[in-house]
Amino acid sequence: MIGGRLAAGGLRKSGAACAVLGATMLWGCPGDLEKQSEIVKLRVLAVQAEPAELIVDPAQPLPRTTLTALAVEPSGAPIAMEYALCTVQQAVPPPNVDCPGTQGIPLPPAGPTSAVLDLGDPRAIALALQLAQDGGMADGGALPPEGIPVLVGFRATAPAHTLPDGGPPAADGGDLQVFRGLTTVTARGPGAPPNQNPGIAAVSLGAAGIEIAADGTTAAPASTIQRVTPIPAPGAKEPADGGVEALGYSFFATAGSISDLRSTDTTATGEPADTFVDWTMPGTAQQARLWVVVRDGRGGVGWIARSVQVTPPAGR
Amino acid sequence: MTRSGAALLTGFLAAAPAFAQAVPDPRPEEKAAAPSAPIAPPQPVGPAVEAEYPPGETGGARVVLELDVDARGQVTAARVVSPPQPRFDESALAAAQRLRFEPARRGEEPLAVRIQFAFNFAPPPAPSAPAEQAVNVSGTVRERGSRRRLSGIEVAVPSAALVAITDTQGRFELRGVPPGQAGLVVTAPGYQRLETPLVVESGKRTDASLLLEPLFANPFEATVEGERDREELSRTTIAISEIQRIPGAQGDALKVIEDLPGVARTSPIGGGLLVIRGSNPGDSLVYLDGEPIPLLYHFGAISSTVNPDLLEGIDFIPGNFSAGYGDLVGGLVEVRSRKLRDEPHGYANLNLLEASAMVESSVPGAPGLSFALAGRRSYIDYILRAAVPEGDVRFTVAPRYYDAQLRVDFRPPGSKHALQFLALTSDDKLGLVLSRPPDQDPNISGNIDTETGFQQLRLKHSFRSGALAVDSIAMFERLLLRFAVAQQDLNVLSRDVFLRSTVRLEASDAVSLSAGIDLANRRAIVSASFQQSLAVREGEFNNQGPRIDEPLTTLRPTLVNRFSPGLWAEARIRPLPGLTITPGVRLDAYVYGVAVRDRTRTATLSPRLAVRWEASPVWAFKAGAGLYSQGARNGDPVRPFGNPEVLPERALQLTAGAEMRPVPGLFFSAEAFYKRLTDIVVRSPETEVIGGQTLPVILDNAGVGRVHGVEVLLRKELTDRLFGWLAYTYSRSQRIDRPGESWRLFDFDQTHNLTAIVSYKLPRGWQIGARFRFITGNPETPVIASRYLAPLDVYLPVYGATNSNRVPPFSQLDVRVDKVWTFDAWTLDAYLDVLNAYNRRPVEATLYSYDFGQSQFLRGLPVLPTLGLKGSF
Repeated sequence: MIGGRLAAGGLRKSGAACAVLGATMLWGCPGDLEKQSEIVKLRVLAVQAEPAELIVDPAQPLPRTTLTALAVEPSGAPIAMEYALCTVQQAVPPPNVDCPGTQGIPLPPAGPTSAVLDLGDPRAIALALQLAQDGGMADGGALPPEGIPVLVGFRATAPAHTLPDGGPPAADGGDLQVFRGLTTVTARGPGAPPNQNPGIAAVSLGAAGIEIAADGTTAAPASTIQRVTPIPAPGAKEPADGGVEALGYSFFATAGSISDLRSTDTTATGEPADTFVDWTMPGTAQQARLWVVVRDGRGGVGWIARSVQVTPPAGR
Repeated sequence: MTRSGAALLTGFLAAAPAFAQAVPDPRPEEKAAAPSAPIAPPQPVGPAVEAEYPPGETGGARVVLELDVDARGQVTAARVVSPPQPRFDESALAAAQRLRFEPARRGEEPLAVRIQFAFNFAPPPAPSAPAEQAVNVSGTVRERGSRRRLSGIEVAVPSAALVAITDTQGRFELRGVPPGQAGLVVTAPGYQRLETPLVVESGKRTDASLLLEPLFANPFEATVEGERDREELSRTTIAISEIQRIPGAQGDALKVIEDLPGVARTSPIGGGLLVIRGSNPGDSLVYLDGEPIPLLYHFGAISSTVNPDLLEGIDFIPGNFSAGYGDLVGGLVEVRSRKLRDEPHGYANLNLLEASAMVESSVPGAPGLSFALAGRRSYIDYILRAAVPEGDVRFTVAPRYYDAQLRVDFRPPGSKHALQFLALTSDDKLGLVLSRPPDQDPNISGNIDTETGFQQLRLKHSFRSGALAVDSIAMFERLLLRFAVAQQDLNVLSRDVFLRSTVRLEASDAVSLSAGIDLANRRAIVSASFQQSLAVREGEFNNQGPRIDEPLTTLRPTLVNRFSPGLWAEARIRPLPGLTITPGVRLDAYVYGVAVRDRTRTATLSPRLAVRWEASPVWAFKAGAGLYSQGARNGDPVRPFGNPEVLPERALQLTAGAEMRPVPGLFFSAEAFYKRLTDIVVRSPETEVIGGQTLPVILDNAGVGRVHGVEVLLRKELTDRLFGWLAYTYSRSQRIDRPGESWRLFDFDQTHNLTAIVSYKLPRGWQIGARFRFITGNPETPVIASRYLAPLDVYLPVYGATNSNRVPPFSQLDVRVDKVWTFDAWTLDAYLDVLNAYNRRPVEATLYSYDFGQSQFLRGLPVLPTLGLKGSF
């Protein structure tokens, strides 16, 4: 029956599987695999578009936005990034689209980890016309009220351990750590107020809720469990869909272990929830870096980066 | 019956072979495709046969023989089952060859049966007993614990040289027992000898109620097995008495199916899917007395929704089934309910997960009317609420399940009609709140609610008159499926009507005709909102889950109807002794869809042929060919999840095999099969223009498949102590999803599947059993790369070739120990069922890290002991 297949196929491998089945059937969930919250290699944790949406107003020039990536690398190796507007624009794009590459139009850089997406770029206009023609829309297509996602691919590189300033080994054993990803920017017509990127004003640490200082001087003892709570910036939660946005957080660290990758202030079915996670500090003294990313579920994203000084264990 | 004079013929007849009891009661049996007619035991004909009293011997003796009586009433084999008494045995065996019987019959059809037969020897000069003295000692002999009446048991008063034999109701009468102190002695193979004092008063009648203790405890009713009518080409029958002893199955009839040849093991996490001979899950069904059961297991795997104690057994038909079944291209399991007992009977059962109970009885003052009421409820919800601390996962409804059945049978004595009413209900419920999204999908949080259940009301009517049999069943069903996971949901509320009516006519000794109508109308209100990729199809089962960035597809509450009538006819022709040819044809129509304009109407004609040749009492050969069809199911014909233009799937099935019964109780079979599947419903990347709009096709019939294999079964049927089987299947099942693609492995292709089961009864109520399985690991689709998707902070897998890898093979040993205490009126069974006795956690699947850069195996359960207690009266 369809229900059985849904339950078996979807729930089985969805994120709820371990939780539900662990509770009901005593299955063990794997503990030895690298966790998404652990930063041990070159990663991109988020890509922010500023402005967050491309508002296409016939009375105005075609809009542009600056894309900036939160690219991290635990050893401090230099990171280079490139972006491309993908020539394959589908609601559900193939994950192996070669973009940047043969299926991408390179975007001009705007910084070490930034680029500009300009819908007024002649190459972008030509692509839009081609796609409208292929999709059978004679008038070039009016944008639906909820907008359409514009697919952009990006590629981050950093030297691997084989090079003098290199970081961790590359997955293929070569000289470069390579990280590939896709992001989307919503393009829509004027009407509703444009979405803004949310922000995180601060992150508190520990039971006492001490704000982690931006200069890295905040300390925490090794091997202790510290509660990490993000504090959203004023105005981070905007009105949306007759209510307010739900903010979702992701947590990443270069050392220690974080209890949960994600939290949210409102569940998908509307219940309030706690946004904190518990960070088990590493067992040795070091500088541990922490990133917290916030998303508003409508394409807006922001983040904060902090460092914590891990002090030696008591008695040493 | 009284004894007199010299050695006399004494026969006690049972209706069928004594697989479990030394002295079985005559019991009518149920057939797979038609309800039972009582079996009339064979009757001696011709002059009485006397066994010669061995010269030189003195004293009395009793020799019990086991006779194979064929369908012509001739004795084909005889063996001694009583303790050895060489010269008496020899004389009795010699006399047995001269015995002639009117053969046993079920209705009008003669059967080969196995019976027990006793010769009583007494020293020649015997005082002539008083001819017509009054009965002054009588009584009933029953089995201790089960209180079953025992027929054919010898009750003697040795001091008076008087012997009586119990009749089919377990009653005996003795005439002319001298007044005063006497001793009754009751002996029977398989039971402990009983000696009890008796006081006989002059002019009065003494009535005794006697209980015999079985030597080997048998708390479960044995099914009397005659030679089963070979209506199906390939059929394996497992009696409930065997099912209840198989380790690892917890007495669950449906879980035993996975131990049969041709059935793939789907891991527990796969939801108890039924995969038979390489066919898709959903292409094979389980029927209860001819009508399907929509949900087999509670929560997909825990225990079945049908109470095993109301069942007689299961018939497993892996393919080439007769024209009586349609709308199916795989295989089927027919679960048969048993005849209710007249005497009160019941049980209560407790184990770690659930409690269940049953009671049945005839209704006093209403001859032919009997009822049974059974129920089961889990209590794992109470355990989980206590054991799982509240945190990020909180139960709003801890998982709980229940099921219940009420059955009322009405078989007026002497009537040609019988009625049966059955009501079933089953329900599973679970509710959770996830306050944190899991790593794999930030969109999942909040409420997770599921409820699945069904209710059925069935009314069955049987008519028997000479050569004509008519069976009809009408069923009304309500089916509920409700899933809500965060913002995705599926709701199906279906009200269904089924009707099946079958007519059989024994036109002559050589020809039987059958015909029937079999229709179903399923009327459902469906609403849904979920990602298309969540509804996994075959070929996607080994993928890593739904496409997280896929937008939701929504269907507002919509009335969907599926009407599938079938007409069929079949003949069984026996042109030569031992040769049976069964041609059949079936016409199926399918009408399904949403609205009149979106409705599909198709029809298929499916001819079928089976041939069986009983070359000798030991060897039989069989072959079959047939076409099968299956209409689109579930959401497949409904936009926007499917396509109303999809046509029925088709299959050609071919089977050939041989069976051998080298000695009674031992069965060997080898069967080769081939299937060609066409018009398989698969996902389509195509688009089409409808009403000026370009729309995705979503699904079409472009898929094809092929399956071939060999199944071997060696089986020892249940006798007093030992039963078991060894089943091995070699098979290969493949698919092509789109034209131009290559063959790829089926999701549950398991090249080798070996299952060995053995169960043995020890003295003093102990029973032990073991089950060993070795199965090739399931195919897997590897992930060869991934791409980060920044807006959702997840990684999208890039897949390699579908099902191009395999997980390591599965092997597991399960062990079961029972201890049965037998009391006068009830029995208590304590059991320990240990799954995975050597604690080697099997590999079920490959799990990947968040970016698919690392992988490790997901392992199944460690050693898992289950304790249970069952009291039966």
